[in-house]
Amino acid sequence: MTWQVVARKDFQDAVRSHWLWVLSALFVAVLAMPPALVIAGFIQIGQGGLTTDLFVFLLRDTMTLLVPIIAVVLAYASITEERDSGTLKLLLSLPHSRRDVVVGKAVGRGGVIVLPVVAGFVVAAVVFLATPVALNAGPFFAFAALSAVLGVVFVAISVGISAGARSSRSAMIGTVGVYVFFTLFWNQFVNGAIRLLHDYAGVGGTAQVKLQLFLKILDPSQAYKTLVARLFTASAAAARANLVSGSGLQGQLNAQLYAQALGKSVPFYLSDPFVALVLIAWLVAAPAVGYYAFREADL
Amino acid sequence: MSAIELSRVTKRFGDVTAVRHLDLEVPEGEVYGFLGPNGAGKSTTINLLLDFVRPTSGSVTVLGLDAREDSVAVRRRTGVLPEGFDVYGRLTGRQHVEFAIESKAADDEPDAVLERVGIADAADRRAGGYSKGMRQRLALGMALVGKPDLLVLDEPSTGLDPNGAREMRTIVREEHERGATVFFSSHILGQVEAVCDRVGILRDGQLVAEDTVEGLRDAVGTEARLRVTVDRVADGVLDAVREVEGVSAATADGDRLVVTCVDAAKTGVLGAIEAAGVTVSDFETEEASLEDLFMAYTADEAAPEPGEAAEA
Repeated sequence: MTWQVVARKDFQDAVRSHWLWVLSALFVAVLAMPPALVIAGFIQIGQGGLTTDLFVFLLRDTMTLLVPIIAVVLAYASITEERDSGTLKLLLSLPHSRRDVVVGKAVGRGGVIVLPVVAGFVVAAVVFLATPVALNAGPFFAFAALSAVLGVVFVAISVGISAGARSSRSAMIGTVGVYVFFTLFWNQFVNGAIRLLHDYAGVGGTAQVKLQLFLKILDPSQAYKTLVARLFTASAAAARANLVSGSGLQGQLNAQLYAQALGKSVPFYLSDPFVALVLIAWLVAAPAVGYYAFREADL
Repeated sequence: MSAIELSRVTKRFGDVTAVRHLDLEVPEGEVYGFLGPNGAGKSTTINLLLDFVRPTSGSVTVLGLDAREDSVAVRRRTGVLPEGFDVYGRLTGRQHVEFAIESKAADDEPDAVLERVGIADAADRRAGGYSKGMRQRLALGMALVGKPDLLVLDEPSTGLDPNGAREMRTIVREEHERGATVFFSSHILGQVEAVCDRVGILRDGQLVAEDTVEGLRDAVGTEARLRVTVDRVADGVLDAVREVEGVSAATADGDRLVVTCVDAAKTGVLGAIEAAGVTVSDFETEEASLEDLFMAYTADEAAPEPGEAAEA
C-alpha cells in the first residue's frame, strides 16, 4: 500500500503547476463575493435577521455548475497523461501497484479541489463576520463539506475514466460525455422513463413521484443539490421535492405538490443517508471500474 | 537461484509476435547483456519482467517471484531504468529521487544519489529542463535507490555522451561488485562486451545466441568470413552450406555468398556450393570480428538457428 506516496507526489506536482493557487483564487472570489458586496453596499439588506442560509440557497446552483467542471478538467488526464508521456513507466518502475496509482491519483487530485473549496468557504465566513448577516455555522459549513465531496466525487469519476482510457483524448471524450449526459440529458431520460411507465405500466400518483425523484438522485450533481436543499428546507421530503423546482412560481408550486405527495416521511431510498450513499457509491465504483480495466492493460 | 527466468514465453500484440517461445535464465550475481537490433523484442522482454505487459503464454519469474502475481514485491527489490520513459517536468531532480526513496521505503541520501549519477549540480532544477542524458542519469539514480538485488536497464546509454556511457559502465561494475544482478539491453555490442559476464542475442523475438563474451571471442578467433562469388544463388544452396559442420552463418548478398565458419570448414563450404550445382568464380576470406559476429546474428535476413554460436 503505497498510495499515500503517489498521492503526495501528485499533489506536489499540482502545487508546482499552480492549479492549487488558481483554483483557490477562483473559489475565494466566487464565495467571498456575496459578503463583500454586502460590505461594499451593493447589496442592501433590511433589518430583519438575515442569515447565511440565504447564501447557501443562492450559491447552490453556482457550485453545482462550477465544481464538477473544474473536477473533470483537473482529473480527466490524471493517468492518461502519464501514459502518453511515459512518466507512468517511471512511476510503475517503483514498487507501486496499479491500484496504488489509481487510489493515489484520486486522493491527490481530490486534495487539489478540496483545499481551494475549503479556502473559499473559510474566507467567505471571515468576510461574513464583518457584515450584519448572521453566520449560521452549521448549514454554512455543511454546504462547504458537501461542495468538497461533490468535487471529490467528480475527481473520482474522472480518475476512473482516465484509468480505463487508452489516451487523454479518449479520457476527455469519456469524462465530458459523462458530464454532459448528466447535466443535459439525465432529467429528460428520467422524465421519458416516467412517462413510459405511466402510459404502459400504469405507474402513477405517489409511486410515480417517488420513482422520478429516486432516478434523479442517481445523478451525483442532483444528489448534491438535494442534500444542500436539506440545509434550508424543513424536511427530507421538501429537500427531495426541491429537485423539481425549476425557476419561477410554477416551479415552486411543483415542488410543493411533490412534497405533499411524499407526505411526512420518505421511503428509505429517498432518505438523506441513502442520497449520501449514492455519492459514496460513485466515489468508490468509478475508480474501481477504471482500475479493473487498467489492471488488465498492457502499457 | 536464478534472478530472471523466462520459460517458453510468447507475447503477441494483435498480429505481431514480439517474443516467441523465449527461454532465458540469468543466475544471481551475473551481469547479462541483452543484445539485439531495434524491434527484436528486447523492451517487450523487459516489460514482461516488470509486469508492464503480460505474456500471451509461458511463465516469467523474477527473483524467485511470479512477475505478475508478485510484481510489487519484484519491483521492491529491483531498480529499473525503463525504455521510452519521461520525467515529471515540474518536479526537481531531488524530488524525483525523494519520491523513489519514499516509494521503496529506503534510507538513501538524495544528494548522494544525485552525486553518484553526476547531476548533483542540477538537483534543484525542474527535470523538465533536463537534457535527454540528464533524464537518463536521473532515472538511473532512482533505480539505484534502496540497493536493489536486481538492476534492469533498458538501453541505458541512450542519450549519453561517451563520457556518460563510461560512467554508466562504472556504476554497473560497482553494483555487480556489491552483489547485484544486472540485466541490461543494448543494440550496440561495444557497450556490453566490457562489462558483461554473458550476452544473449535476440532477433525477431528469439534468442539466437547466448554465450560468455570470452566464448564469443574464442568463436571469433577461430572463425573466418568467407566471401564466395557465384554465377547464381540457387535454391537450397544456403541451406546446404549451413549443413556443413563448422558453419555458423550463411547469407546471400547479390551474387555473393557470405559464410561465417571455422577455418577448417572452408573446403567443405566450397564443396557444398559446387555440389548444389552452383559455379564458384572467386572467393576470399577475412577474419571475423566480434562486431561481425553480432552483425551476422542480427543484421542479415537469414537467422542462424539458436545455439549455434555456443557450438561453434
